[in-house]
Amino acid sequence: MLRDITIGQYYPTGSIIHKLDPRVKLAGTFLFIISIFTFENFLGYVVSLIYLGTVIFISGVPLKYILKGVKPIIFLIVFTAAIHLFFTSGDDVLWKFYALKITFTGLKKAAFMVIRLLFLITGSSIMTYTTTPNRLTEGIEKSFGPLKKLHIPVHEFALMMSLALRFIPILMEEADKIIKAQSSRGADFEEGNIFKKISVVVSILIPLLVSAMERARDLALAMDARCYHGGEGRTKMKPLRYTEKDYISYCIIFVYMVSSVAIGRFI
Amino acid sequence: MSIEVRNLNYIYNEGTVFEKQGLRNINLTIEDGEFIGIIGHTGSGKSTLIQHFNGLNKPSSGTVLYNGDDIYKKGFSKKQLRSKVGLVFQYPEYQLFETTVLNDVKFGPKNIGLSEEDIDNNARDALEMAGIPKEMYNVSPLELSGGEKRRVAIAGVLAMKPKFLILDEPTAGLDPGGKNEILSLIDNLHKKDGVTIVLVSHSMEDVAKYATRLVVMNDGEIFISGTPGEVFKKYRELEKIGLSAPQTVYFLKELKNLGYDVNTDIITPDEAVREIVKKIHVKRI
Ligand SMILES: Nc1ncnc2c1ncn2[C@@H]1O[C@H](COP(=O)(O)OP(=O)(O)OP(=O)(O)O)[C@@H](O)[C@H]1O
Ligand SMILES: [Mg+2]
Repeated sequence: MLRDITIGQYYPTGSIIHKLDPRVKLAGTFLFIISIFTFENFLGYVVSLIYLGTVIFISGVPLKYILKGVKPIIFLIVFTAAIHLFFTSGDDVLWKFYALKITFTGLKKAAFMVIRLLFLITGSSIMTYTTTPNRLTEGIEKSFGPLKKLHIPVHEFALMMSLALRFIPILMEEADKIIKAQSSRGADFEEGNIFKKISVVVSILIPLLVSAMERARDLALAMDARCYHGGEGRTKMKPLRYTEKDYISYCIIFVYMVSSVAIGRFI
Repeated sequence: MSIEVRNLNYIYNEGTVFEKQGLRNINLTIEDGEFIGIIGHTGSGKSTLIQHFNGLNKPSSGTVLYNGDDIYKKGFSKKQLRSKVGLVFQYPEYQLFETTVLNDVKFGPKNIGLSEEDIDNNARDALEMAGIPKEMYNVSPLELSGGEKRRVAIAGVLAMKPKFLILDEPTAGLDPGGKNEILSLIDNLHKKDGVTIVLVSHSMEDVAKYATRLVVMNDGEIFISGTPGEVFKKYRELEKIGLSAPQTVYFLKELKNLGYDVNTDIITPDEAVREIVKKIHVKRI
């Protein structure tokens, strides 16, 4: 059910991917996403798939678990694919039905979109599965650190992001509990007319919202009580430091970028 | 009528690193008219178990029978089951969502498709039973105190007129007054209305006072089960799994050690007082 939404969850296996510096993983994910949007032929995606598959394999996160993260956005994928499929203009028409037509270009575009979205989700979920929200935030904060000179509150943004990520699983658990409690009162998610269904959804959303607000307030109070005052002058107990494996990973990412883009665009 | 749990196993997050056996080979029958107390230390699987009684959790293996029918069988109406087997969650106050107390209590009866009149009657009955004064019926449930919210939430389940009522630590975090009110409400339902009760509790005193049978959980398994007297006699074993017997049991043991001839099978304070008074009387005469 709701537990299927796995974005933002950490999946500990202790693999080398887990131990990499979060900045490496951020850069790797970012570049990977860029790469999949530059390809113009399918060969590029084959390279990406091999690369992604290897990373997933090394990370030790079960494939089943990663694919679960795709489930919630299946609708989005299908929708995007349909739009591309039916509304791409071109001369190479394969099938026509009044205003609807499928062109070869459209078919190709739709396929590209599906692959891109799938890779985008799996690629970024590998990052969140292998990096705790805390480390991820540190990585972001450090990577964007120079922007502080432009008076952009990098630390605060990073903190907000990590809190949001941290709260996803908690809210999911909460939602699960509320759904169970309302089901115990006969709430039915499958049957009933539209009004019944709306009332069931409301019966879940309102308690969830109330508890999210309460949690946020408690958290703010707890931070205040511990004298949290933003990023200024704040030091780290375990500052990020690159090690050998991080440099090697950067090299691998570089090799991937060059080879995949070369193959994906120019062959 | 009965709820029967057969060879039940339940595994959380099956097939991932988070896999955890929540329940192990549970066999249990709840007969009509019983008052069952479920005790066990934190994380022993009490909540997980009771969420099988109305089909919220789906077992990894084994099954649950309601009046002999498999509740996980295709075509078995979970909605009907849930109106017969009412479940009050641990900290149920977070489930309140309606604009007024009365409307919130009506949510359950509405869902199971009662007539407008029955919905209203049931809701008012339930609120009255739960001891919510009339002037509160039309305020927002979010404005109530914690204890009041708890009682409204319980009323929300009572309004479906369940035959079985399962309560997961209904008195956690309440003051002694609020606690007693809820316990006597439950006791009344059991005695007057003949509702079968399953009460999950951390208070040995409470289950000793009300339950007709105890089920002791430990690490996902049923550790012992029997009448409160039988169970609390094995207080040494209970201590090993982080539980204890009611204070009364220890008190009478101590008296006996000091040479007073008291009956050590007694588990509730009231009986103990009577016993001691009786013994003092005997001495005087
Ligand atoms: N959603 C869940 N996912 C994974 N494990 C869980 C989940 N819910 C409970 N557990 C685990 O299952 C075990 C039993 O939990 P359960 O909530 O049934 O305990 P309990 O006896 O009700 O405890 P308490 O007295 O604290 O309420 C615990 O070890 C808990 O960590
Ligand atoms: Mg519990």
